[in-house]
Formats: sequence, structure tokens, C-alpha cells
Amino acid sequence: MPARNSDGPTPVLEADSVSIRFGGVQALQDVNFAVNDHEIVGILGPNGAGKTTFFNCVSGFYTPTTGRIWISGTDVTEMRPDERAQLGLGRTFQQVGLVRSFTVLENLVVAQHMNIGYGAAGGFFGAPWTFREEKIVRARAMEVLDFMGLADLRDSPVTGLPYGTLKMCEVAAVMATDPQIIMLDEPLAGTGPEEGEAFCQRLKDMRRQLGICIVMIEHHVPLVLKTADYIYVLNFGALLAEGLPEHIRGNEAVAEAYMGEGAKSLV
Amino acid sequence: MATQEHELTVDEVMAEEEREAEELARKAREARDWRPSRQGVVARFGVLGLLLVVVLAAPQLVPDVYTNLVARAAVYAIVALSMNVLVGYAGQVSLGHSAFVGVGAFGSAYALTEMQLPFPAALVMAALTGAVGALAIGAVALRLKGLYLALVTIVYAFFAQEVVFNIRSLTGGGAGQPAPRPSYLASDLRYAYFCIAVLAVFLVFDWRLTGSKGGRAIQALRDDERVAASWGINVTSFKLLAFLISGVIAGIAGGLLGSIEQVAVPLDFGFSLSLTFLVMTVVGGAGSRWGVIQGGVLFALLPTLLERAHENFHVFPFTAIDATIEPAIGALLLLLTLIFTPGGIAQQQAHLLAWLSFRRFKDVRETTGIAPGGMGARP
Amino acid sequence: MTTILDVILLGLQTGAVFSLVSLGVALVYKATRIVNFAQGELGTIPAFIAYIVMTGFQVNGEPVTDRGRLWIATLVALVVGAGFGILVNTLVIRRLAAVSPVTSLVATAGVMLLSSAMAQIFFEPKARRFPQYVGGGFRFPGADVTVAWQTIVTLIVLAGAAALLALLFRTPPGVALLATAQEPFAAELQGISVSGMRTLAWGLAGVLGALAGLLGAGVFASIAPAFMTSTFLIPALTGAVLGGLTSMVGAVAGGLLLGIVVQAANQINRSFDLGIPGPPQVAALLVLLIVLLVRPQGLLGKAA
Repeated sequence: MPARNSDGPTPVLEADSVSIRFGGVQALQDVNFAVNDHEIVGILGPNGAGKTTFFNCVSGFYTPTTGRIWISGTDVTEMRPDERAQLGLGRTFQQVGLVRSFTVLENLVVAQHMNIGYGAAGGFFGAPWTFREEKIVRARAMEVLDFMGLADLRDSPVTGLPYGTLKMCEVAAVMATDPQIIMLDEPLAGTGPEEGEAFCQRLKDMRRQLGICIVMIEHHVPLVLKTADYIYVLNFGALLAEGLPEHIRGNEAVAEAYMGEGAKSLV
Repeated sequence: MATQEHELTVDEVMAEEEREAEELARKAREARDWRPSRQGVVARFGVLGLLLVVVLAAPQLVPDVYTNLVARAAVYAIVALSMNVLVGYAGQVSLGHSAFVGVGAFGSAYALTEMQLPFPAALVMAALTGAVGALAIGAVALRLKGLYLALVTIVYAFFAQEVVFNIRSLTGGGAGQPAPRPSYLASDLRYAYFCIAVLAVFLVFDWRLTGSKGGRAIQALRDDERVAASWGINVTSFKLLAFLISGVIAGIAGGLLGSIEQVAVPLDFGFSLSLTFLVMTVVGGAGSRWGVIQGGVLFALLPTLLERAHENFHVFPFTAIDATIEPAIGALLLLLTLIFTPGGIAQQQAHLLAWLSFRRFKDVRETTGIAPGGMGARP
Repeated sequence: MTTILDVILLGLQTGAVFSLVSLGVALVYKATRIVNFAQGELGTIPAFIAYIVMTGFQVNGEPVTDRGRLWIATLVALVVGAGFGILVNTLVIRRLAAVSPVTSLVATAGVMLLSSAMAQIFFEPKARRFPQYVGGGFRFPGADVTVAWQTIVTLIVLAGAAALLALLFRTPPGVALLATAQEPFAAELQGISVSGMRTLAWGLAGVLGALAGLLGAGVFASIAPAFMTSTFLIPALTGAVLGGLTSMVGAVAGGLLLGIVVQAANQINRSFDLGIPGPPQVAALLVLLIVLLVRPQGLLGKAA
């Protein structure tokens, strides 16, 4: 399948024919993917479809056997994960991606690593300008926490917090990296319907206020259908379908993949 | 009906979680906004001042025969800080620190005797050799994790013990390589103060390390390398940096150690020293600088303490024990720590440390102990 | 003139003991995912207990070695070994506050330190005569060296133990043992008593350790506090890693192979007058390093 809009403006994130094999298992097969500016893109698919594997290929934790990946037009296929992060790629993880031994605030401070100007050596020897930058970094961390409504928890160690709060903190940490595009891996896991709605609303706010793109792996199909601008569906490592939410909703193949034979539509 | 009951329960769970989160937030706010009373401030400053005076006066106060012991305690504390960077902050295992320290000791001794360099230059030499030694292991650590890395560090320590430290031209053979002190540090008293001063310098360095981007990056690696990478941290660079820093500090400690008795003897830097270093770090509390320092001091003083107890307290159990029991006591402390208080001395003193940090007695900060793992813990 | 055959035969002598200890290390690892640093001490202590039984409960006496005493002492030692292993598991391993491969390793290292220190206190760091099970040796055709009968005994015991263990892991209790190592939670759900399995594993490791201690003492016909650890632990660990930590047969092969390699290193050092200090230890260390860097899962182990 050709890339979505090969003649439009450069997508923020683009993947072309990504395939990866683990031992005898073809985990991904020829996946094409694109996210345009200001878009919220959803990735659906049953468990084991390869969604997180795809994320790991995009992040750089796995090396695909074939295929290439671009961030804002730059080919990142050979780049390390931290280099891709520096190009504005942010991501959350299924097991909460936070530093367990730190507090919430400290997590947001570490997350801003890329944006701290002084070199590591300057930091060790207590050069005066480092203190000033530290202040700025802390202030920014507080801003993000305020935005996410987590300001009160700033000094709480991460280990004591409930799961839902942790997912919020994780998103806050990613926001602190000042990304162009955020990849969320099952952000609504463990949240109830109201929390989920609130979260999706917040995603839309973030998109509007900060101009970032969002890619979301989710199992909560109705919410994704409501929130996303474009949807990809993976099944057994291959793209089963892609398109606008309305089309995906009525897509029989997708419905069957989720709910078994005979299903006619998703919702 | 059944469905509604189910939904109710879910809502209840959600509400419970929200209550919990609010409670946590309230407690956190309280802890943050709390300020000690005037008496509290005075009391804290008083205790801190007293501790400072004791440390500074220690070399003067102890009988002359023990002045070198004070220097040794300070040097062990420096080694503990070096171990802490690697084991506590970076979460890497090191059973090879005897090699880093030994290499530093012999590097410095060589610089002093064979190259006739002045003492500060010899310490720089010690730092360099320690760094090189640590980077060699660091390179291996990039490929191996957890258990296998531990085995490699063991190999390293044994290799140093059997081969490197037996090269006569470098280490002077069995009798060791002389490591004379400069004239301005000739007196044991001055040397002890010098070692304490170096310890203070490294304490400040450690404080800046954890308060700056490099140190935070290193600590982030410990729990989950992928998360750190997703935040733009170059995992390889910062892992190697952790080894480099640890090696430099250990090397300088080695240089200082050799010049206490003014000779660096190969027998002193065998694998068992690595075990002592690891034990004192774990018992002190890996991850806490004050904990590991106390661990270092304890193990430096332990043989003498046991000996003195044996001589002075003519009562069982002291009549039965003397310095030969020291390894047993050390091993016992290690096991007790691993079983009961994995955070070590730091965990036991958590309340005291909180109070001294001008927080409330109960606002305890968690210490980590040896890294429980995260990604890459299994071999 | 020492030939290759001589080197091999001499190598098998120490290699056989390496393998016994390696087998214990591999067993504990396969069953609990812990590298048992105290495996050597699981041999030293029973050997000393056997010694005490044979000297009539004196700490420094001469062991009486009539057949009866010897067998009683052996039996006692095996029981002590099993008990020691189970004790380590119950008192230390089960109670670790934070469980990870590294903390377990450090814990077993702590046990090793404690055991060797206590032995030094009770028994004084002095070597004592320890009898061999079968004295004397025979001339192997075509070789210069005499092969001790003790070595043959050790090899037989080794083969027997390795075969039994390899079989064990194919029987239901053995599979249950493996299950508890790989997926303790799932095993528990299946009704397998994880703690029971671990006790079994450590008990068996203790018996193996005792065998290694009794037979290892016979190699040099002497024992001293911590002798199993100081002489055999590093080579045994190397042998186990070389063979693959999860393979019983690998552990045996690795230990024997290492014995030969170490002997060869000794020989090369002597013949070519290389002057490398402590060639056996250096050889063992180099092998371990190479294995860890090139193929950490060893010859027969499964890639982690």
C-alpha cells in the first residue's frame, strides 16, 4: 500500500514498508504509516497485532528488517532512540515510563534533559550558570505539572502513586520534553469511561494549544473513533485497514477481527 | 440489575483512587509547606554543627597511633562514594573495585618513585589510571548486564590481583612500591586532614552530580534505559560516564590509600577488598551518600573496634572475639542488611536524615538499596 | 617429557572436581536463577564435619580411616551438606527483601564469606590431612603420569550425578522444579509448592556440594578452611558458565574441559618459560572472560 499522502506536505512521522521478524515470527509486515501536522492518529488492533512492536520500531528500540522511518522528513532509520527523541519524538510505555526512584517533579526535570544547555561536566563542577538553568528547568516542570493538574503531587515519590495518576505523570514528563509528536501506548488502560473522556478532551486541547501531533494505541475503540482524525488497524502484524473513523466504524473486516465472524460493524 | 451493581463497584474503585490521590497530594503539600519552628532550626543547626566539630577534631582527638586510622576511614568513605556512583546511582554491579583502587594506588606510587612526580601530579596519575581501568569494564558493561556483568567484574578483580599487581616493574613485587608523602604532608595529622579535605571535595562533587543533568541522567538509566532514551539521554555515553567518574574517584582514593603507610603492597588489593567495598556500600545503603560514607567508615574502623573491644571489655562476648572475627561480622552485617533493611544504614537513619535535612522527622525519603532491576536485570 | 595425554589426564583430575562444583552451581541456577557463590562452602563445611567424625570429634586430630568410620563420616557429611543447602535457602534466600539476580548473588557471596570466616575461627587456617576414598593410582597406557584411583571414583560419581540430574529434569518432579524457576507464579497456580521445590533444589545442591568437598579434599589429600572456595570456586563458576548455566551436561563438560585447559596453561607456561604468574588462575579467568564476551550462554546453554 502506498503512503497516505505522497504528494502533500511532509508528514511529521512517516513509516514505509516496515517489517520485522523475531525468530520464526513475522511480527510486522510491510506497515505503511503517516501522521500529518496537527493530527491525532489512532492505532487499533487486537492483542498481539504488533502495535507496540511498531512503536518500538519507530522509537528505535527495535531495528526493522526492512523499511524506513522519517521524522519531519529526516530519515531516522539508522538513528539511536535518544537521537530520535531529540528530533521531537516523544512516547509513553505500557508499563509506566517513569523513573521509579524519583519524585514526580524530579521526573519532569530529568525528562527535560535535551533542553538543558550546559554540558554534563559544567554540572558536576557547580559552574554558576548551571544553577540558573536548573531554576528555569524546575519552573518549566512546574508549568507542565500545573497544566496537567498534578502540581500538588510534585514532591511525591513515583512509587506510591495510583496507576491512573502515574499515567498522567508520564504524559506530563513527555510533554516536558517539548515534543513535536507524542506516541501514546494504551494511555487509557485502567481508566474508567469518564476519566477516558476527560483524557481525550485534554489530548484535543494539547493538540490545539501546543500544535503537537498525537499517535495513540488504544483498545477503547469508541473513544478512539471519537477522538482520532485518522485510524490504522493492525492485525497479525499487517495493516488490516486505514481510513477516517467513519469508514473504520463500518469496516467489516475490522469488525470481524475484533469481534469474530459475522460482525458487521465496530460500534 | 447485575450490570448496574458492577458499574457501581467500578465507580467506587475510581472514587477510592481519587480519594487516595487527593490524600497524597494533601500530604505532599503539607510536607512541602511545613517549616521547622525556631527551636527546631536551632536544634538542627546545633546537631549538624556538633557533627562537623567531631569530624574536624577527630584527627586531633584520637591517640597518635590511630591518626592513620582516621585517614583510612576518610579514604574508605571516598571509595564508598565511588562505589555509590556506580552501584547506587547507575545501578551497575561492581565486584571489581579493588582493581580500580589498586590501579590508582600503584599508578600514584609509580609516579612518585619511578617518575619522581610531585604528590598532586601523582594523584592525577592515580585518577587517570583509575579512569582507564574503569572504562575498560564500562565498555564490557555496554554489552552485558546484571549477573554476567558481575562475573566480568570478578574476573577483572582477580586478574588484577593475580597478574597486573604481580608485575614487578610496575608494582615492586611482594614488598610493594613505596608511595612517599610530600614533606608538607609528612605528619600523620596533616595527612588525615588532607584526606578529610579530599572527602569533602568529593562530597560537594557528589552533591552537584545528583543536582545536575549528568547525575540525573545516570540515575535514570538505572530504572529503565528505554525511558531514559526516549527522553533523549544517550544511554551509552552516560553509562560510560558513570564508570569514568567512579574510576576517577576510586583511583584517587587508591593513591591516598597507598600513601597512608607510604607503600602500596599488591596483597592489599586483592579480590577480598572488592568484597569489603561491596559489603560496606550495601550495608551503608547504596544510593545514599551519607549512608555509604558511614558504611565506609565503619568497615575501615571495624578491625580496630573489635580488637579494642576484646582488650577493654573483659566480658563475654567480647572475650571471645577479636579482629580475626572481622570478616564474619562484615558478612553477617551484609546478610542482615539484605534481609531486613535493604536500604542499609541510610534506611535505618531515614528519620534522622529527614530531620537533619530540615524536614519533619516522618517525611522520609526512600533509599533504593541495590537496584532491583527494571529492563536488563536478567542475564 | 609430558605429552598431551599426560596433560589431559592431569587435567581430568582437577577437572572432575571442578565439574562436581559446576554441577551444583548449574543445578541451583537452573532451579532458582541464582548463581550460588556459596557452592564451594557447601563442600568445605561437610568435609570438615566428616573430618571431625573421623578424628573422634577433635578439631586438630588425625583422622581414623577404617572403612566403617569413613562411610559413617561420608553419610554424615552428605546429610550436613543437604542441611546446609536447605538452611541457606530458608534463612537467607527466602528472606531477601529485594529479590533480583544481583542481590541473590551478593547474598550467596555473603553466605560464602560468613561460612569461610566462621570456619577460620573454629578450625584455624591450617591444612589437615584428609583421606582419599581409594588410595594409589595406576599407569595409564601411553602416559607418564599415574592416574589416581580417586580420580576414577570422582569421575564415576560425576557421571552418575549428572545422569541422575539430567533424568530428573525429565520426570514430573523435575519439570515442576523447572517451572518454579521460570514462572514461579504460574507454578504456584498449578498447585506446585514453589518453596518446596526450592528446598528440594538447595538440598540437592548441598548433597552435590558435599560430594565435591569430600572428593575434592581427596585430590590434595588435605583440607583447610574455605579450601573448596579458594581452590575450586572460580574455576567451577567458569566451567558452569562455559557449559551453559542451565545445562547439567554442559556443566560437567565445562568443568572437565576447563581442567584440561588449566593444566595445558600450566604446561605451556613451564615449557616455554613464559613466567606468567599463576597460570592456572589466569587461564581460568581468561576462559571465563572470553565466554562472557563471545557467547554468554555457554556451549550448551540456552540464550537468555
